[in-house]
Amino acid sequence: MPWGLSGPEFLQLYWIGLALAVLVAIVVRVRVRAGHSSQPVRSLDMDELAYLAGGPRRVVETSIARLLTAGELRTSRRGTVQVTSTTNSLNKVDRAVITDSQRYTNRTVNLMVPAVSKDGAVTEIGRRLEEMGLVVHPDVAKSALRKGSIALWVLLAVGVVRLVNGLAIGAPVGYLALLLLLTGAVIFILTRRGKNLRTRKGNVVLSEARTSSSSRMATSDDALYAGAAGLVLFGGLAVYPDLAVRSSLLASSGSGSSYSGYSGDGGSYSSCSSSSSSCSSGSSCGGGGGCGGGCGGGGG
Amino acid sequence: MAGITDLGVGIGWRSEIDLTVERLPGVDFVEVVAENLHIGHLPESVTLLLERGIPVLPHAVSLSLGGADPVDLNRVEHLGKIAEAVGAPMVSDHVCFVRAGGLDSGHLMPVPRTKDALDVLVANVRLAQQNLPVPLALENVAALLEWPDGELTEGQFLAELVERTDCWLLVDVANLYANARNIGTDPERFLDEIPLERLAYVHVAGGEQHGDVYHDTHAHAVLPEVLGVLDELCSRVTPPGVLLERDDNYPSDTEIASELAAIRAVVDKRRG
Repeated sequence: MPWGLSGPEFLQLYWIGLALAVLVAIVVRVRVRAGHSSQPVRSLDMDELAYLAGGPRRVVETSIARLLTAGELRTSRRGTVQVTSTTNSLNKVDRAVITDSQRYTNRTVNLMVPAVSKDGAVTEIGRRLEEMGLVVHPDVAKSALRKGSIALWVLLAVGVVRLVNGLAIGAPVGYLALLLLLTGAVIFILTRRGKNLRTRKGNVVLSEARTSSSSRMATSDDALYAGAAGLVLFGGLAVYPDLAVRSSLLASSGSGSSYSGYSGDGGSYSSCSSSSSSCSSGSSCGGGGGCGGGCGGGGG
Repeated sequence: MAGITDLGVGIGWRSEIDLTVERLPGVDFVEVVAENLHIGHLPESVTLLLERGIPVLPHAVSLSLGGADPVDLNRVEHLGKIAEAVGAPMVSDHVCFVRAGGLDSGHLMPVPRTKDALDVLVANVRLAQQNLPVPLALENVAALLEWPDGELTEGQFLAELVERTDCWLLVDVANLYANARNIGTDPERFLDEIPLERLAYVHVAGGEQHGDVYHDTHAHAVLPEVLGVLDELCSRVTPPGVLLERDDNYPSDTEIASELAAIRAVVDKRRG
């Protein structure tokens, strides 16, 4: 009887320890999501909402969609984007996208999106959202989740020592080995995180914006989140309503689904809104790969 | 030879603006730079335009018909094959030379307007025509300087070229304007002297005044003065076609569409 405990006694204690450690890790995880800011949430602009919906990449994608619609950016069948001589936008993210595409002659969105994602104009938006308590900085989330899983790691270490000792004295260790594997799996699951993390408040704000944007688009001419950029904001470039433009943009970037978004607990939303006035030709909507379930019917 | 079919208003197709050209309202025909196309794999966009029944006319820049060397038949053959591939009613190049003594100038150099130079040009044009499946139209270029001892005006030179080779004329009104600005020629006199019944179509392009010199850049907006020359031309003859050339620094779709609309307005005003 190593450590004065029989095998079944040790397993019983281990189970209790595991339950407690999992509880701690879950509490920490929930607290990370809860956010600490008590600031009231003001209404977000398009870039902020895009960041909330899909992180830095989505901000850039939304800006690309906005510039394409405004005629400040053009794509060709070669899959490259280039600025037109008509660049008026004063938006900082738009300027960053324009500067990026002016720097290269054959720029694909595949390369542009990650590059501009790191631009100050985009990271600044992330900071603002953190201050409002809508997203958690990846580093903050990472360290919190790490701390939350300390108890699990300690438990695992004790179990491993017991296992080694058990093997040394020829005691049966089958159940213990299974339990250790289970502990490892739990650690993996509970410390796993999305690249970007929305707080609960962030989830609420996003789903409200999503609801109001689809109702607004159907009823009025409020242009805040409307148009192609409004769709891309929630669904990424894979739902850009113009089929030919979308195919040329995504042709160079492998599959459209490579645009990973935020991990929120709301599950996946339908990425296409009910209707949009942004389609330049009726036939350009719907169908086509990449788009999750096809986009809403063309406006005209 | 019968007259050229009515082409309407068109735009130079370039791969950078392929989607734009496909979607622009009021594009009746397009022109492709023959040297940029390869037999056997036409760009998807060009194929799509052909399927829609849009005429595609190959425009060459490298035959160097005004050069002292005999015309390179490989280049003529390529031009002819492109014409067949797109089912073009005609092809075109410039009254110029681009290489001499084995060197490529990279520019469309004006030909000295002498009887001797005309003989050389005529010989080259005839050779090219014999090896082309469709009629050849030749375009006036913009010159920043004039060769000394010119015996003919540009209009007379082209008129004689047409008479001796039975070629068609592709009149670039932006080049006429550029020559008027830079070397003081008279566009109206040019239009008086050329055989307008041999007009295939017209080029319109943008440019930029740079100090004392007007540059035919194809990268800036079309000046009202250039449309003025087009108007002058349209007052004499209804051009079978008018085509906008834009090669760089492309503006938005909307702006390109409005340039096409402005061209159409000039043509329609005289027609109606």
